[in-house]
Amino acid sequence: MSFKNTIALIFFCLSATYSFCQTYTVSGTVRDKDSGEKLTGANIYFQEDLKKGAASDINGKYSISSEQGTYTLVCTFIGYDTVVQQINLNKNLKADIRLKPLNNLMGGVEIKVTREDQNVRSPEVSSIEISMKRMEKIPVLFGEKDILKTIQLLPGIQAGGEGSNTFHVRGGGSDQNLILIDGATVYNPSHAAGFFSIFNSDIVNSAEVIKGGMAPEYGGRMSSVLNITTLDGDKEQFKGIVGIGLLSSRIQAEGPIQRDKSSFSFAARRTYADVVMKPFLKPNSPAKGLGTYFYDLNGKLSFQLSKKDNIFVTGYHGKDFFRYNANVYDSPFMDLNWMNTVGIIRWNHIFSKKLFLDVSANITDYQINVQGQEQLYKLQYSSGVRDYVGKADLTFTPDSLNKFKVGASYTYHIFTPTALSIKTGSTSLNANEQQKFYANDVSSYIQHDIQITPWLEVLYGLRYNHFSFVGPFKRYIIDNVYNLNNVDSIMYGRGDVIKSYNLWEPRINTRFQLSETQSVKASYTLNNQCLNLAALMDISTPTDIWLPSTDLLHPQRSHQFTVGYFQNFLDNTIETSVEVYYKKMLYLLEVNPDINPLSMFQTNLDYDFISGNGQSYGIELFANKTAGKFTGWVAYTLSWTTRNFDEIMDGKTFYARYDRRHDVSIMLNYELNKKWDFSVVWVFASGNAATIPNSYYIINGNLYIEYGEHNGWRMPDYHRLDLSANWNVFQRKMFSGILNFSIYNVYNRHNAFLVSYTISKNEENNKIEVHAYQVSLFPILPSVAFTLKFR
Amino acid sequence: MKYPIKILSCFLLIILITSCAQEVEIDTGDFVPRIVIEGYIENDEYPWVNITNNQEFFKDINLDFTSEEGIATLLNLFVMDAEVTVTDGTTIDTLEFMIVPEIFEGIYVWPPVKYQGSKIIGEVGKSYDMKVVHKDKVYTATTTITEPLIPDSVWVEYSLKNDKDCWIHVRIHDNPDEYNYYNCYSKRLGKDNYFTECLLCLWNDQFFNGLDFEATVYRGSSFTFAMDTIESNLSDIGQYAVGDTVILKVLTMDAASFNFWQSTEQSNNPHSNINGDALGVWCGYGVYYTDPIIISEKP
Repeated sequence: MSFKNTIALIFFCLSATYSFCQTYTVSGTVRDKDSGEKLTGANIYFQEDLKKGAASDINGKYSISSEQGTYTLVCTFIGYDTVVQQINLNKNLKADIRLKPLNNLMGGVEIKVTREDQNVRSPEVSSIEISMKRMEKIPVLFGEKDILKTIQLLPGIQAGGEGSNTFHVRGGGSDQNLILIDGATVYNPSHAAGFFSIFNSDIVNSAEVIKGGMAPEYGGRMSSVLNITTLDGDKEQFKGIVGIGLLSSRIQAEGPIQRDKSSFSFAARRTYADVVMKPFLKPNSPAKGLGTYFYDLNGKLSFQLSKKDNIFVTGYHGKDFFRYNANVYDSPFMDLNWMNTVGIIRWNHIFSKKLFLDVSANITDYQINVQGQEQLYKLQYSSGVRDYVGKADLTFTPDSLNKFKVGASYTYHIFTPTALSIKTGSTSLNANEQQKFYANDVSSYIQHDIQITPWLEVLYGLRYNHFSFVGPFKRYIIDNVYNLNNVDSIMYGRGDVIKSYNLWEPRINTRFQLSETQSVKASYTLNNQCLNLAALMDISTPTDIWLPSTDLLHPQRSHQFTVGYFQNFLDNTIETSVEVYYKKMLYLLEVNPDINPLSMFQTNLDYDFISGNGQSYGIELFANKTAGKFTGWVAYTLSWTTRNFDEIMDGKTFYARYDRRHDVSIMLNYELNKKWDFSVVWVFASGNAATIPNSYYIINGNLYIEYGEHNGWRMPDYHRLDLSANWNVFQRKMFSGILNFSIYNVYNRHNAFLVSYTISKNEENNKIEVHAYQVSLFPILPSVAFTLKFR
Repeated sequence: MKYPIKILSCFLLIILITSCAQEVEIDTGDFVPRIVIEGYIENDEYPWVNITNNQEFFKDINLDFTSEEGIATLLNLFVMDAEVTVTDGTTIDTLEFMIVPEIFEGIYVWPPVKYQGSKIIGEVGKSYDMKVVHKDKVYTATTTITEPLIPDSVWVEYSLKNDKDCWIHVRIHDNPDEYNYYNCYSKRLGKDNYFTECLLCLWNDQFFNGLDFEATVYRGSSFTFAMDTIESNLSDIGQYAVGDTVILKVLTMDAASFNFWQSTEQSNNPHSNINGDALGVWCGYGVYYTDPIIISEKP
């Protein structure tokens, strides 16, 4: 059967599910008038019939079908003038829309002049689009704008720790978030051990976070999707940004390659903490030998081959360096670096007004390398994961009431969890052979978004995932965990299927429209996750190791139910929502806490996990003022997250480390005039669960700790106030300069990052004394950054 | 040889550089009292066992046993009324509670009191059962004395940065036909009162089975450091000094004993090899003492 016939057959089957009627379609692309950038999430609708509407997709495309007639087509988007245009829909029409920014040089002033009711009208529940213009106003650590820190201010999303950009969604682990850049997976979105994200804010075009109710097009992770798209580049004029901050500087440039046909976008960033810190360190400081910095590079090329074909090539490469060369004794050095590299090529093809094709291939690679030396010991260690991905998505919009999407993808995973080489003196030790895990990951999905009645819309679908753990692989047969050496093994050949999983994931989102400004949404999603992160510490570090589901590790699974009530006020300028969720998690994996990290390098890493279950439930309140001089949001989450592992507390239920009872985020922005705007952020979070000592005892003259109930203690509550101001210093035709002043932790609260203990002997009274110390990371931290924009 | 831990420690270092710490009070919940047993049998030595009680985490204890408070500590810390026996399958040795003689000479050693055997002398290759009865509860464990290891060579490496510091290295050959578990203690004659455990020397042969293996013997110190050394200087732990005369006590042990000691280096609770709800270890050691290593002037 030919490809065309196959497509035809698929859509014949799909079309049988709805009754066909004679309609015409208006479709096109929504772009920024100045930059030519595609705009995601713009609202396009007929004023005469508000139910005939659509939101522009990730490629800026929209499509609305309706009966023959004359309509007023309205297009609105945050921060842009509204476009209103009469159209005569007596045939299929193409209408590309160019929206004029209200103030593009100040970083955008959010004034919404017409209705914005996407939150009430879209069927997706627990999905939030982040405005880049809003992100630019949020005060941040060291003055670095950061999309990952911004989403931590949303309900249901918790920060992984002070200053960290790891995040936890509705009780899930940080590895349960699918983080995409232009459709490619990013395995470690962190620079500098989590204090910075790899996403340079200058190149982020849009960001959407989905906490639940994931449509079937998304898969592979249990808790959330963070979908980030980068700028295509201005097809009409050259422009750019130069940013100078206390710890980093950055440059961004974009412009046409061939006017209106092709464009480029490029950004680079480097930190200089290594240079800045040096003068402040004493000559004998143990930190004197410390050097750390990172850089990242982003590039994108966009080509319009024809009116129906576009090609995009995206590249990202970022690398962190960490060197410790102790000068205290004859000590040693340690070099550590880790890097993300992503390459994507994407082709969009428009078959017709109703049929879009998106085909892409990408490579994503994450590597960490360590070299160390101390006395006789020399060590080289590396770990990483590389994916080769091909995927295709087809969108069919037969009319304004129906939208179908089908897609398939194939991923070849290569995991190198541990490649270790140790030498002592002249002897090379028997660390395991470089151990790789290979997996084939085939996915397909179909989803249908149908407006059944004016008050009922359903987005439903099914995702299928065939995951195979394949050879070559050497499976060690161990007798018990303490006798690891001299073990037998089984060798699997290249491509041999060692274990495969067939995973079906039904998903459904429904929207009940109660009125023009009120809706109730409900969703159920089943998600499987075949990739696992072995975290060696409670805090996220780049040494965390990725590996796939294997014959020993069952894919993790979650069932999530969400019900939400959404209502807008004051002509949709205030959005509010209440969401209640329940998530059951099965086959959760944790590194066996009894395992000696060294033994992990001896046999197969997947021996060193324990499996259990968990659940999370809670309620999230969100109020968001999106227009006017005074904007901002208030988010509150009340939640519980628990776990059960047979190996921990004899299977009794315990709180997950990131179980957090109360979580409050307030973000307010006030635009005083065109020169100044001010923002304030206040966050409050109940303390995380932690395991603390209950007693100590003496053996062999040394003290050992006996820990109490697992995660049975609470860290102190966390709260913090941040302020920032943007001053538009000058604005010329070709240039504008903006100074950002930020103060992190304004009232200098010493929030607990961790609690440590010292057991010491007081020489004066011969007493053994035990003390607990709360370690806090960041005191009050003012920062200033200057951004020069030119065009 | 804890490189993964070292890597992670570097990250913690960054955190500590930029952080500040303040003392806090913590409610650790209800204290669960438990008995702590540590017992040893080495080749050519009688067995001995020390029994203590665990202590509330934030409760200070006074180790000045000449003071009133210290005596109260002594009575609270040490279990002196247990019945302790060790058997090799044929002979039963009932261990006697005693105060360690060095205490009377003003020399501090750990533990100051213990249950001492007098009938069974440890033999290589033999297994020994220990039984402790205390307050109607019975605690049992078994251990084996493994073949001692004689290092192929021991040598000294001098610091490049000064004329004082140096390190001791050993080279051993691992037996490929069996699982082997090692540790090393050291004692500086005239400086240390007893052998203390060296740092980073607890090894199994998973990485070097059947190979020659070279390791650095970092000088350690037990927690009660001010008492185990005559000259206490914590700043140079890890190294030895020119002028030191050092004896190494090279140990081999069985898997269960190794498992306990290894688990004390984890962040989780250590794995006792004692049956019954007791903390601690019953440990057999195959012991080899090196000849005194005299560290002469730097060449």
